[in-house]
Amino acid sequence: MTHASQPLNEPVSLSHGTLELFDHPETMRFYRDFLGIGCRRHHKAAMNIFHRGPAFVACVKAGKSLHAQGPENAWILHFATSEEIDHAHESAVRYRDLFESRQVLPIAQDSNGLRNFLLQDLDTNWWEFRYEPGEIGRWADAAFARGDVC
Amino acid sequence: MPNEALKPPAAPVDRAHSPFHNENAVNKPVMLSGGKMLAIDLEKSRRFYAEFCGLETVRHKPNGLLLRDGRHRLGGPYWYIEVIQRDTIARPQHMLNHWGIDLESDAAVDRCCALARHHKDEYGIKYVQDPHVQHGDYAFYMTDRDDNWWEFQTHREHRSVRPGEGDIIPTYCPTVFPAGEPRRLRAK
Repeated sequence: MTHASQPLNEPVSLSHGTLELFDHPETMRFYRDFLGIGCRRHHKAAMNIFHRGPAFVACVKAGKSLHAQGPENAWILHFATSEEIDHAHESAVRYRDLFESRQVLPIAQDSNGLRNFLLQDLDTNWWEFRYEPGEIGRWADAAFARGDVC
Repeated sequence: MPNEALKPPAAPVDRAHSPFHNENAVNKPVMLSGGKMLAIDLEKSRRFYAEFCGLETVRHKPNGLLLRDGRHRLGGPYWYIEVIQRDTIARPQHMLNHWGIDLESDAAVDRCCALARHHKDEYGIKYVQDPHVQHGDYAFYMTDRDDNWWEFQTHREHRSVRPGEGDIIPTYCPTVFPAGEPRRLRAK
């Protein structure tokens, strides 16, 4: 692990990320009714999403000037069991038209027990539905404890 | 000025008492826990994340790096960013796809901005905006060597964006599912 002993800046926290939306109402339904995360409209042009973590994602209306995203910039949603990934995938396919999802990719699994799939939503943003063993909210602990692999 | 973010992470949101969750949603995730981004040279970018931003980093796989802040030391859940190395970045990010880092004070934001300009070449920083006040925060944006955007900010007033305060604009219109749906995962 690298943590500079004297970094130039000392952050209080990594507090948020941001993403772009075409518009709010349909996306809000996707967040609340499909993803199952909290969603709060706090501004004419923006809403925040959050779920149990210490940080949030600010979702800003960009309209036609929205920049399409790729899976390399996915947001990560953790699930408690591998079965929930199967359920989420089955539901993503079943309700693809209802929530106007653009793509639902197949489930993948690696040798460390990580099981996941990717979904691209109506605003081109990608969501990774992920199950991996570990304590809730502290999935990266083991990686940091192991240290650099190369 | 006290900064709310200095406090330990809040207890996980209790879904049953959050007006912003749908208890009957199709999925029930444990946590929204972060996101991903790309870098062309992980070791060069790592210096920026660790030495400039003050984040903790680890090479968890040959082409990947994890970032987190220091809040894990408080024992609660934390966010992480997974950085993946690629030869090229087909979709450079834009200002509205930034990562936000909270600093302690206006002075820390000013100092951070001056340091970004001073160390621009050393860390491959491409663009540094002047600090300014927006929606109750004092902040500036910058881009790193991989065109990822970062906002360094401090909160001058209680955030209007904190969860738990109600929709300012009532937008939510519940999804109309087919009869008898949505299907749920049966409890074991």
